[in-house]
Amino acid sequence: MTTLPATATLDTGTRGDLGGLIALVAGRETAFPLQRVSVRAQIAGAVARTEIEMVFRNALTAPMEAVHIFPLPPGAVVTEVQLWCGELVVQAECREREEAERTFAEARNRGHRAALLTAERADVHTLRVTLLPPGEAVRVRIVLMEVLKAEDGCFQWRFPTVVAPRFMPGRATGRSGPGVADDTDRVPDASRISPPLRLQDGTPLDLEVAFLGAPARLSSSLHALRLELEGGVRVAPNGTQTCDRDFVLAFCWAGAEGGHRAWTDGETTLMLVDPPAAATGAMPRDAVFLIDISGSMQGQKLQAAKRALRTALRGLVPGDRMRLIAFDDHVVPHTDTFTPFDDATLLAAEAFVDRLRTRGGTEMLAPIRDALAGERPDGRLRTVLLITDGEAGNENELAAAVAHRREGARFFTLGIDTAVNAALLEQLARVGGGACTLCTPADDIEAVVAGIEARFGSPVADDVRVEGECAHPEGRTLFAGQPLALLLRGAPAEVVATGRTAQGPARWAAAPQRTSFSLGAPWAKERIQWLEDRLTLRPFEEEAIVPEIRRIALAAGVASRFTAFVAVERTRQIDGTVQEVVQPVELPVMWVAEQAPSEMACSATSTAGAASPSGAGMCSGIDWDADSIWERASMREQSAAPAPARPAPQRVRAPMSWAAPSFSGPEHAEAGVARASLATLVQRQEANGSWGNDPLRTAAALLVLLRAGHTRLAGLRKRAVQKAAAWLAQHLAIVEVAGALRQLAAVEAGGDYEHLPSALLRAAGAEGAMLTS
Amino acid sequence: MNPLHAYRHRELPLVELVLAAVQLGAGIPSAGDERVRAEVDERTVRYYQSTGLVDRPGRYEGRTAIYGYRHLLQVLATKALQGAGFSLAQVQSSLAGVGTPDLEAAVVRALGEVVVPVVPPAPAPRALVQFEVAPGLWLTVDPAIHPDPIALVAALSPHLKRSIP
Repeated sequence: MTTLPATATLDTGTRGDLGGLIALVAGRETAFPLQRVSVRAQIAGAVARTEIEMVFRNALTAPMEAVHIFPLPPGAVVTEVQLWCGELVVQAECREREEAERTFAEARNRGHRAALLTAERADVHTLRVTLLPPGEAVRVRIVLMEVLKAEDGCFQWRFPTVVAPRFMPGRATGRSGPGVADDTDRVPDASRISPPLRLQDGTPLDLEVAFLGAPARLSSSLHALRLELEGGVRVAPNGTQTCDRDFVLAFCWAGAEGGHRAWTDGETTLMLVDPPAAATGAMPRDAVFLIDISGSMQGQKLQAAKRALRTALRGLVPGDRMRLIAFDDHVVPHTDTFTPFDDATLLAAEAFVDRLRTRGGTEMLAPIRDALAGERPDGRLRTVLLITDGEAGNENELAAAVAHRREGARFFTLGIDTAVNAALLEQLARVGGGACTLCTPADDIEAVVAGIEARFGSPVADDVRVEGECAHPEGRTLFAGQPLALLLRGAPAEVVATGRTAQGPARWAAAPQRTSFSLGAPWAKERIQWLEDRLTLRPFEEEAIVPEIRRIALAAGVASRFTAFVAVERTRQIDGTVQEVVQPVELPVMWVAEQAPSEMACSATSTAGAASPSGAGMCSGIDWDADSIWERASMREQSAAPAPARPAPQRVRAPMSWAAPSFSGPEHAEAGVARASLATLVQRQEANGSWGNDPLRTAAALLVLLRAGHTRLAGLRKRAVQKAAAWLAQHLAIVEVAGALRQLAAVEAGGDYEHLPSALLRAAGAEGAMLTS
Repeated sequence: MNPLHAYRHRELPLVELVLAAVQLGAGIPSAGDERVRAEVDERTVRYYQSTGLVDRPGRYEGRTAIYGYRHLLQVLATKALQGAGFSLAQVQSSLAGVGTPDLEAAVVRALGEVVVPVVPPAPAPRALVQFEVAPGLWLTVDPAIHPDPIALVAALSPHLKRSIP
């Protein structure tokens, strides 16, 4: 054994001190480049034009290259980018992506300030601003056009502000982008969609929506709203906000009560086809429910997901079959095959849902394949409902799995999150022949599921298309409660859409109104989206599809995966080595953060990422590692310090005097207290639709629901009424039953509720007592 | 010569980066919590990386990330500042983008001229590396004795797997 030099053991050298390090930290302003984000949206008809301004500042002593990975609404398209250096404005040009990247790199080599905007996904974008001189700031202005989603009589404008951490399955292969996740064999661009996680504070968000017209019934599930009525209606989140959640604004136009509508800018026309109220097919269903129990669903999100699942289960009817599959990085099936829907299986399924806990990563591919596999008997419709936040990076793989489903299956998605992966969930529904519904954990989950139930199963119309050069050249599917936006070239005096309904061919027409917004970019976006979906289904057609996307994007001057915006400011030269800083972003609100390893009493020895299978799948922000979730869970119970409280989400509505004439159903009219007792009433309903297999109790319950405004056609609980009425039809010989069904038919035909319960009904158990109260 | 300088042009896989940070970190005076400072492991580095406290790896050799001098400086600076009572959030917002020369000067000053033994007298248990060679079968390697644990395990694991009854 060699003797160590004396200095090593005696520690006699010059003692170091932390002064230099502390000087780098103490009293220094933040070095993150993004100072604030301003969003100004204008909404007219079904179209929103949004201007985003981002201010980047260099607090370093060397020139900086700021990189920001941020989301845009998946239906929106970038039509314009400007780089503002003081009063000097440089308009960015839309080029092929490789060319734009080359131009940007050349500018950097020559010492010129430049900005580059690229699209990584339908929603995730990257902005690079290079050679920001020390102590100076630049602004980047981005203009978006978007056709709004319409649902259940309202429009929804959902503006994402943060890219949430996504689970990246697969084995690490390297790092091609600025993010913090390794690229993997299954997510080759993981490093382009994974911004670093910000540990404290956030980027201030200044957002305002202006309406060109009179909106009504404004609400926002994740922000309290502030209204300005001077000089047009404007809405903004109340108080100071940061980029930590989606801004979800629901509204409708005062006086516009549905119906088909159309707008034109003179060159392109947008038609909104309103789904007619039609009874959907009564084909028995094989319903698969997929519920995400990965680590990212922890807390309120899982509670909301469980509630949605329980409500959806009760929407099944006798004759249906069901299967429940929970998943994280393992598939946790409740049963391996379909079970008939009855009281015993419903109870077992509910017990299974109660026991679910979060853990592990979001591995969606296996459960999706499982849900779509197997025998498909004739005369039964396979429906899949995926309940998740969608936070997985292998979107392409998942969309391909759903797109290759066999005929006769429909794939529905319910996204629950404060920063949901809307692009994925919308795409899965699009290629899966189903419908997508997005909500937040703060939403009224029962109302959300009631909306899904109307769409669940057969669509209102199939093969919906419009005469003319349509952005989506194939026939589309129209679901109850979700109007369809169709874009076509040209400006006809009347737009005519056709479709196939259960009753035969249908024809819908609307006369376009003039709009001041250009619809050319939304047309291009819709066509590009269709081509991208096609590419997912037929990757072997890449050589034909990609040039087509590029051609359309360049012609319309919009960003896509293959085109980008680049701006170079050539008047000034900046010297020095450029230091890249990737802007860290916040963890979305209601997400449960991973603790820093050193902040927990870690007892395990380290594990090597290169050899451990879980190493590659790690992602920032959320620990997807199953074992450490358990380890931390027990840790947290011991820890005395509570997690910092976040402001509770609030829901506000416009003042009554200002709201439009109410055309809301009982969903909105029902008082909170009465509603709670109705919820317990519905929970007592048996799988076959009865209450205790007792005709009188069931008739009483039906009348309680009817009195609260629920019928087979309207109301949050129409599913319960439908099931009760179907069961009661077997007992028409009983006078009270026949009377209750007559009353139901009368109310559905437009009459008022005016039932006087008989003594026999009043005595019919707890339901009869409710009828008396 | 300051021991840090030996790493100026070194390329370090994660295991070696951790090892270097543990060895050098022991030479930085602690202003506060000794326990906090001593803890550097691969999990820590990965967490630092996910928050941008440590830059992304310079390059990859196959699937192995290769780190360098700047990454080492970032780990040392973060650990030392954490030990001095700064929160990770404070360190994150102030150290973002600080140039390598500034970082180096501060870390060198923190290390002083103390010569740190290249092999720690008693290897800390943290420096051990664990591999799952087969489901449920873990192999623990002391990198101080086997300088290339990955290659070692890669060579051993086929034999071990075959021996599983």
